[in-house]
Amino acid sequence: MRTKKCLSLILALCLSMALLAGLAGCGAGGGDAAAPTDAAAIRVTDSRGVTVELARPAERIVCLLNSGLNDLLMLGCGDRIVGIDEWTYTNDVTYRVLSQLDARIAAREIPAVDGNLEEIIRLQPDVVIIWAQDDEKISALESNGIPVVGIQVNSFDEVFDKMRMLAAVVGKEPRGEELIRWTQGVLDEIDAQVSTLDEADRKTGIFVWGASRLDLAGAASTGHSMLQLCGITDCAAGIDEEHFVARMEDVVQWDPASILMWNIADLDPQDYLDDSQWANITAIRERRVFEIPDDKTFYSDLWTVKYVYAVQYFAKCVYPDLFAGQDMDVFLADMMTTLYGKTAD
Amino acid sequence: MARPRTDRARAGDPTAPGRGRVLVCYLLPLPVFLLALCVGAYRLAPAAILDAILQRLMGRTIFGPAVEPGAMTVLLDVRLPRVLLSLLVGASLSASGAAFQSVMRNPLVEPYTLGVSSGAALGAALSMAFSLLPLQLSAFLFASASILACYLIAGQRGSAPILSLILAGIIVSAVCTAALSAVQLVVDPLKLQGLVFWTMGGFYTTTWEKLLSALPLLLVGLAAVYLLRWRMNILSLGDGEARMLGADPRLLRGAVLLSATLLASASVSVSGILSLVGLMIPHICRMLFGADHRRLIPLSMSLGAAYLTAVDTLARTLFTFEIPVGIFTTFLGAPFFVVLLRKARSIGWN
Amino acid sequence: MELIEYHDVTIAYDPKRPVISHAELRIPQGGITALLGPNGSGKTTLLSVLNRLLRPVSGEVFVGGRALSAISHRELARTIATVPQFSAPSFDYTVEHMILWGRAPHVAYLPRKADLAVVDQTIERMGLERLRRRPFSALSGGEKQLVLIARALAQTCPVILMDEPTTYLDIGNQVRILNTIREINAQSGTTFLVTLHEPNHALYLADEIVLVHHGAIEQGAPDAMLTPENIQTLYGARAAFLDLFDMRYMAIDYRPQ
Repeated sequence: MRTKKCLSLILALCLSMALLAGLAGCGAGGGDAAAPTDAAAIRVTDSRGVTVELARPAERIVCLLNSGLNDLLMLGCGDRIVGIDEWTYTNDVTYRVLSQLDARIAAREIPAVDGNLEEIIRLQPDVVIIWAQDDEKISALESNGIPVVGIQVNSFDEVFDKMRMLAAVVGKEPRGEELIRWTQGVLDEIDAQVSTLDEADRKTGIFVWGASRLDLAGAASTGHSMLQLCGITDCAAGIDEEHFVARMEDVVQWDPASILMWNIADLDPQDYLDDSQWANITAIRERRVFEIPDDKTFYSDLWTVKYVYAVQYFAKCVYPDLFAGQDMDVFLADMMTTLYGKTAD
Repeated sequence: MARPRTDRARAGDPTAPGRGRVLVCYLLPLPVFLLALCVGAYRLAPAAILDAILQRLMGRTIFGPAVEPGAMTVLLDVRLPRVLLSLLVGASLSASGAAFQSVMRNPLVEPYTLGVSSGAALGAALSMAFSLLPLQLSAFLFASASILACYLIAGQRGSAPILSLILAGIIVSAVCTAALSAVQLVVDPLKLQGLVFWTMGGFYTTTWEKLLSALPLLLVGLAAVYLLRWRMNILSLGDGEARMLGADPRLLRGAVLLSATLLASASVSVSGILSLVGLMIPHICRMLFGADHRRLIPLSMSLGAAYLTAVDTLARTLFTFEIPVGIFTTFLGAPFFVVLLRKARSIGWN
Repeated sequence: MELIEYHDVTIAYDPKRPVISHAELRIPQGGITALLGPNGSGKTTLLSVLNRLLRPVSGEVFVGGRALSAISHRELARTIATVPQFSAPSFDYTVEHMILWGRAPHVAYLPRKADLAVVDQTIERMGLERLRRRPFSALSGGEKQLVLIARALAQTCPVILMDEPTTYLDIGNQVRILNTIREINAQSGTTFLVTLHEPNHALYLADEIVLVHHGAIEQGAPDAMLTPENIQTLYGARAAFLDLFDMRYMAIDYRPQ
């Protein structure tokens, strides 16, 4: 009987200690970053719908998305970046071009910290820019009192939203609006040309994400928007998916007049041209299959305003007569100067 | 107590389940094949289908005007190879399943319990990531290697006890899966985009080339299993009794395993991972037609061909986008497996 | 030469401790030979050599005048049929199937009409007609044993080996099996080599008795071999022999010595 009483006492003690510890833990975390104060100079609503507050424009920024990094460079705030993502260094094309735009990236001075929570905290950033789906990291950062801006880009509209968010974070809203205006201007020019097409001349098309020939963009994707901006009627508009696998029979039925491909590792336009199943499709017969070239992936980034390069590129490929006067090298140089202030090879 | 059926049966075969049933099973693939050809996203009337075939063979049509190129492409370059491959793979997986079951003397075994699926997935991922070998070949080699590894791990003096084999299968699967995770960590995720879909198993990228590349291997495997079907009966009695009946169990086991492995690996290399087909079909055949492998093997091939083609036809017509066939076979096969486990006694197994 | 002969055969699992040493054995054709001996004496081991489950460390076994090592698997299976003590197939084969498997040594690719005819004849002869389509696993112990004997019969071999066929059967089934053996031997002249536990079964069945004791072998006529002295030596039990039921019958004195 005595042993039993002892044991129950110990058990009760342990349980209450655990309970207290739990309460303490709950109290310490959460909430801090989201509690609004009147004194905050900057209020930004991120893609999650969370309002992020900063006392003043961020001076120390950890940016864990390459597209966010590019936005910051375009906003002229490259020097404020104290931490970036690993991919920026490991992807050859990206690193090569960015090295020419920013000396610190070329020298690998900025640490790549996306794998390491402690490193991020040690850098004592004013704000961390991160993908909105990364719940675990976000809650870990927020519970350490670091403001987090979560980003989601599912459409071209959200590209502008991202630009505005980041411009607000660094206090460079005018520059942000300037970049957006420029982008819209380019789109308007392309649209002006494309809207001169009558129905008969308008081409149909599909947008291919890869990895296989039949991995297509559906109506709820940037691929679809791309087709529309280029003046192409999307054959897959009836399928409300971001990325889906089409049935070959459907493709034969649609008979697209053009095929636009993202830059895909093991897939080239030649693969379509050589494939006997695709031989009778109009796009193959008229040789209207285009892929973003390997060396142009940096300039075609669909998560930044640079997507207009892809739009112009494809539009020119599909409607060469309409855009005969447009030189892509000139366009590129123009874009780079406007966005980054300098050109690169 | 002479029953007419028994007397007729005696002349041909000691155990003759209803002759009608057997005939239906053998003939089943034909209507399934025709139906599959007629059905699809691209509307083709049966008359047009006949015309298309005639046009390709003889250059003229009977029922209507010349068939347009789109229809020709769909029927002869998209649908036909796909349907033929699903028939072939269905037969192969079923035969492979039945063969593994006879060798391992356990009806709950199927190609995928020996690490075939994780091995194949690893092979596919390595091919996608490092491009050293083409996808099909890589998947095939790693699938075969997995089975070999299982046997080497579990084997003792030429015979491998069933439990050891299944445990070895678990280990090999675990190792392959871990290696796969390692590849996914190291390699750019964009390169492995296609892996998920491939893993789910499907025929949506079937071309004549693919079909012809797998055809010789599958035909060899099917022929071997077919020719060995009588001896599988003896093998399934166990090594001791097989030896008493004049068989060489080691040689026989090696031959059956090799054929079954060939069938499973070649199938997975062209169609991705389609699990539980090799479990379900031989079981249904045992239930309907008895456990004699002389009957079981060809009937499994036939029923398997019809089944997989029917399921694939469903997968490609149910929605406006492709659904991997593996999803269907698993969802159909899993409840079947559960029922089987619970009713083990009454279904051709002790 | 007799049908089966063992010349100076030594069998051992562990080379230092042979189970059978320098054994000499002669199994006459057309008779029923019973092997008797205490547990672990090596009776089964002796037979295992014939089945090629074991190989003798030294010496040679001759079957039909030919050395065992020179006979192929299939040929051996056409000469010697074995009735195992148990069979538990993993699949639900019917009685008909099980008996058909006995034709395996004679089947090149698939069983032919002749093979099926043999199966029919065997079923008739063993009176198994009503069990023909029943699953083997659903049979009683005695019925299973009959089916396994039928399988060995269907194998149409001159020799049938049986390892303790009666040990796990009830009395009724024991009588049945013993008489089946006698009938087959009488009708077809098949040579039987049977290991037995119960000396009375041997007395009822056998033309020749082989006693196995501590690796040593002695063979002879039943009356000569089964004596109270030998029973004492083999089993350490007191026995008396009397004439009963038209045969020489052994009775054990169970009282403590």
